[in-house]
Amino acid sequence: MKKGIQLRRVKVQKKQQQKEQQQNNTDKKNKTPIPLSTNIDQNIQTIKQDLGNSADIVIRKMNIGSSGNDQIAICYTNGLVDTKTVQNVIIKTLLVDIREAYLQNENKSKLSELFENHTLPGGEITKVTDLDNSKHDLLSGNTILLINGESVGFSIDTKGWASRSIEEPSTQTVVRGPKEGFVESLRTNTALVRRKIKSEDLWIEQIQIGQKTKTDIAILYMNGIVNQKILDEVKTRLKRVQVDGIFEGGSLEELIQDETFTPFPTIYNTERPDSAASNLLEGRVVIIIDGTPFALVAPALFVQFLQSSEDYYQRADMASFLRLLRFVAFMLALLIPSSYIAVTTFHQDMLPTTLLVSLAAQREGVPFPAFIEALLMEIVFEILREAGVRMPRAIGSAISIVGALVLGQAAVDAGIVSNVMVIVVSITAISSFVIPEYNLAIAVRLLRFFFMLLAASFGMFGIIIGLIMMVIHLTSLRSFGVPYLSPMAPFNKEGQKDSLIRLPQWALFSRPKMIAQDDYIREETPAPEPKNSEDLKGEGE
Amino acid sequence: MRKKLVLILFFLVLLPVLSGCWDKKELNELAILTGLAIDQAEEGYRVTAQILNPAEIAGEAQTNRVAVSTYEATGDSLFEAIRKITDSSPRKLYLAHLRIVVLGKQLAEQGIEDTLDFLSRDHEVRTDFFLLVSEEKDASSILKVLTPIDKIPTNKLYQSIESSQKNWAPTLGVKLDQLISTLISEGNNPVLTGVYIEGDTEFGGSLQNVERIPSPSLLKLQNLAAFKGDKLVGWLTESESKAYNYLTDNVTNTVAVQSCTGGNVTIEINNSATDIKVVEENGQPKVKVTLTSEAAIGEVQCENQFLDERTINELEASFAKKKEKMSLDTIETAKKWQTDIFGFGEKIYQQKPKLWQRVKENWDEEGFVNLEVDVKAEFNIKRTGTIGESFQSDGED
Amino acid sequence: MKSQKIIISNLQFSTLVVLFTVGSSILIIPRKLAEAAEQDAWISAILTVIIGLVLVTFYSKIAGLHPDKHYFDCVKHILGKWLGGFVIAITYIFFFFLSVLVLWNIGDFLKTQILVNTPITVIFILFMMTVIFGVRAGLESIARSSEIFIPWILSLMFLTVIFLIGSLETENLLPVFEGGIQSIVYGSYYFLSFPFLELLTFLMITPYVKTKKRVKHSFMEGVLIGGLVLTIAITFCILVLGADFTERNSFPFYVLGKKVTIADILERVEVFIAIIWFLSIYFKLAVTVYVLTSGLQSIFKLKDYRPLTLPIGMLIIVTATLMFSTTMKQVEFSEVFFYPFTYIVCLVIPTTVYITGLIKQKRKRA
Repeated sequence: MKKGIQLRRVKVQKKQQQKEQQQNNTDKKNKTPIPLSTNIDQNIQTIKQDLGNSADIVIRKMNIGSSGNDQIAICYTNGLVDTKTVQNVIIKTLLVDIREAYLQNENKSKLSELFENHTLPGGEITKVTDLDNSKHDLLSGNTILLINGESVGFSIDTKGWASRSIEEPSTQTVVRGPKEGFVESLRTNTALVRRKIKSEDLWIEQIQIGQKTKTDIAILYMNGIVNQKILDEVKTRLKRVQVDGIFEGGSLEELIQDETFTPFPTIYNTERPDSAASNLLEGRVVIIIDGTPFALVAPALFVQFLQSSEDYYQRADMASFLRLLRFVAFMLALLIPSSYIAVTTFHQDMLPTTLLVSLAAQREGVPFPAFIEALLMEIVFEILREAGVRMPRAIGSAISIVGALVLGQAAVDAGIVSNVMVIVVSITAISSFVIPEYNLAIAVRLLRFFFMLLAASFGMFGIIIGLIMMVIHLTSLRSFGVPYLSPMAPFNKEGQKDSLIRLPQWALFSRPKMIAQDDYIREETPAPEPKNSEDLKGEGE
Repeated sequence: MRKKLVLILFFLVLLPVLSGCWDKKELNELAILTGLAIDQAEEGYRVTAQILNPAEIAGEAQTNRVAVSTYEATGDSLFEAIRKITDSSPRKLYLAHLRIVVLGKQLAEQGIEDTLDFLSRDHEVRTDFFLLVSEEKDASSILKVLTPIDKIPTNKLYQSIESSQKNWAPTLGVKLDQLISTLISEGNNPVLTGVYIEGDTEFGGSLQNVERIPSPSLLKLQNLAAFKGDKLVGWLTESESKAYNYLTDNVTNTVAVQSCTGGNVTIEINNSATDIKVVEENGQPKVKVTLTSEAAIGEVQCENQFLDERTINELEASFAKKKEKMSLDTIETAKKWQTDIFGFGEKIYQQKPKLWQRVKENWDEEGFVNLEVDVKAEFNIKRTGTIGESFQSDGED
Repeated sequence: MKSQKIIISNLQFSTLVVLFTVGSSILIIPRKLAEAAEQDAWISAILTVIIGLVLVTFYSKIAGLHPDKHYFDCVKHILGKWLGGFVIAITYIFFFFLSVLVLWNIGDFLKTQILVNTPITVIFILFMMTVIFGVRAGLESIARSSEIFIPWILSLMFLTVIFLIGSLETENLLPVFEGGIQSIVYGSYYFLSFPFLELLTFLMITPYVKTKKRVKHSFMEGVLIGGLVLTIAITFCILVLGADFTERNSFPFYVLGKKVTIADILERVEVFIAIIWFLSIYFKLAVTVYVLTSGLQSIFKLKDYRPLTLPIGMLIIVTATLMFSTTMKQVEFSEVFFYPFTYIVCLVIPTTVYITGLIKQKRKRA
């Protein structure tokens, strides 16, 4: 199995290398990095030509200087730049303010030096010398300044496009906790994290992925806490990615995860800056992709998908209870339909007589075997759910009314399904909504059918077989080298404090051992001992 | 990897194909059998099965049909007879929810061991049902009576066995495994509770039976049937049955009555313990039984009875004496039948295994009949109920 | 996936030992012991667990001779190519029949108690497929899964026992020592070979244990817990069912599950027992099949053991189906052949190997 993958990888790599070579060859033939020409018209011409005269490219030529002999041009992409900055600041500077600098320019130094040292406003200014770079900058929202007679241009950071404001995240909602969520802009997102962690150890590395999209991707980690091996692994895997474009973490996730053929997610994603920050502090690596509010977190453990960031904001006992509840809900969502099938078609002896009689009474006249009945209902439910998700909100509620009330009630009245089956499907559905992470919930939905099949064929025996297979599979999974089921297997006593239950904050003095191997112990806070409580009591009396 | 996927897919496709057969049984394909009556037939057995009609018991629209139904078949063996019932019953019998097995009187006299073999061998049958002996000629008639409160007659029987054993004590709920372990134990013989129909048997099976107060025919539990080995040898009377339960430590709660001037005193026994000691005397075993009971006054009808310590002590002594006599009488009855239903032999084996080796030969006929049994009863009246002295005695003044 | 060195933690080793000890014995051995020692079965059980602990200490000594070599390599190193090869062959046959018997046990149980109409071969195939799935996932996966399942198994066991306390009848233990020491030892003869002597299998995986110095400790821990579970199972069978009834039932501990009732709500929980048995037997078979395949791999110096799993699994299924076509055949096979064979392979041979190994070591030093 392993071998197969390796072989295939090697093959794929070889193919990729060949492709790259071919591309490089074509690149070399057609587009050798062309230096900027000294002739401004030629430069403008090339840019226009290369970009196919795209409508959103604005190029403006100006004559400046006291004599008006010096020709310059600014190019920007309309919509990607902050128009105000370009018009009010840059153009004004170039046309008006420059005059003075010109007058003082007694040394008659080159225009470019003049711009660089004295006049150009804007925070981030870089020199560009070749056409490719300038085109790239132009397309990412910078304004390019070209000067006639010189083979040097400037790229001024004027990025500013319309973007969604910071809103409450629509997934991973909490009752108590920060209500801000990531947005589509990478910079905003890194800023949101930076605002949580003002440590010098929060390091952000940025790379670009996607031959065509050139998507910016930021790798965030806490230097000194992060496990160097995991960090290196993340980086190498990211660097290996060769695709046309990345639009969402999900497609990147599939390219860098350890095991593809598994229903279980091995990379965590979050829309919440606080969750990202706390994961960083545990030694995990956060990957933020430009253009999506979902940040990836690696390595991810199974228990993580049953946790919510609110667990840390509520009381420890409540949080533990809720976590256990979620675990129970996970098992219910997975096993209720299959257990129902197993019990009613194989192990009728397990039921108390009265329960058996009432179940049997309801099943009188139902034309399908229990398995088919369950399968039908589950599929109908999945369809309803999918319909509800894809529909506009207003129609969504109509669908749920049609689906749940009309269809359910009518089906029971018509004697096509039994009442118990409706109850079973409802419990399953509600339980699966309790699972906080959508991608684990999907896994459960898929596995549920697998378990139903097993139960219909072999009863409880089949379910146990399925459970064993599932656990074996889970234990064989790794997320960036970390066993997926840790800290349960391999068992780690320290890790139990914050997995299925959560102990009070002062007990959580260690970071997950498998992940943060470098800096294992957090700051230790002693348990609070309100010393003054006695005094207060005295005063009260 | 692809191979594995193909394998899994193949497996998944295969599953539903296979699931059509073998052990799958849908709920609406089952005839849930809760009661079984076994009678001796001319050749082999006649089996009557009581089957539930779930829709009538728990369904939404209930009609006038009966909640249970019975089917009968005769076969050379029990297993055969039960399978034969499928001739008449619409569905396959499902035995796991068996609550009651009624053994015919005649069958019980002939021996029940063969019957038990099937019941304990079949994988569907569990061991948690009660066995009863019918006092009627036909065990099957017991299953043909509708009961007023519980729609399922066997459920009614099951519950009354439990409650009567808990609160009254002359009956004993014997489950299959208990019965078998008493049967195979050398120094012990089983007893089973009897059941009969009170009133008009004609009405029993029709809905009319549950449309009237009181029901014309009722199922009643009564007394214990003593077995020797697997054969019925005699019936204990009510007081003997109670004494039997005292001696075998099966009493949890019961009532005892003693006459006094002007009426009766009734006490509620709520804690009873039996201690059996075996001693060796002149190479022969001797059994010493100590019965300790804790009780409370339940009802007083006596004249001039003050409930002071002296009267209580007297009461305790008289109750004890009565119980001792009752117990000894019961043992005598058993001796008459030559069957050690009390398990004294087993106690000897447990406490004096070497002695047992000497006396176990012909235990029921010789050892038990000549066994010296010493019964000592102790009563301990601790409470007087919610009132102290009876207001009757006040009224006399 | 990089090919990493297999490492299992000491805790995992212990849990595997527990499951291996409990697996397949828990349902069968109460009957065997009650047959041999009647109501003294519990004494026999305690005695055997103590002997088992000594035995395991001895096994750890063998493992300690060459901590980095598994049993086959160890035998080869000590006894040489030819004699060693012979011994390895015999031991290999033992492992093979062990897996056949274990598979047969689970099939027999399901066939008689739960899936009565399902062909036993189908049960074999399904179970074996799961085992192969596990073995292919690797020893680490098996070990980790055992960690996941053991709390469930132990707590189910605990619950069953708690619920049964009400129906205990201490008189069932009387009279004590009726059959004398003879019958107790006779009981131990069975109990020791099944499962304790079979723990020889674990000498094949001791080299993968993380802290080799504590192998003995983990081994004993596992045997102690496993032995305790079995002893409790046996004692409760006698206490609740009585010795007679215990020996009459094919699976007394399962019958024990049927006895549990809690306030009429929680009853019919024998499925708990079936789950305990099922899970533990799974791990027992997974470990033996892993040892079978990885053993073959090391004998023939193959690169990977995974391709071997399917043929070996099929061979086990075929043998189980053909050799034990009836319950009676299996019982006879165990009585006449397997018990003595176990003693030879798991006691006599290891002792010889150990003594030879010691002598060789001393000579080297001298």
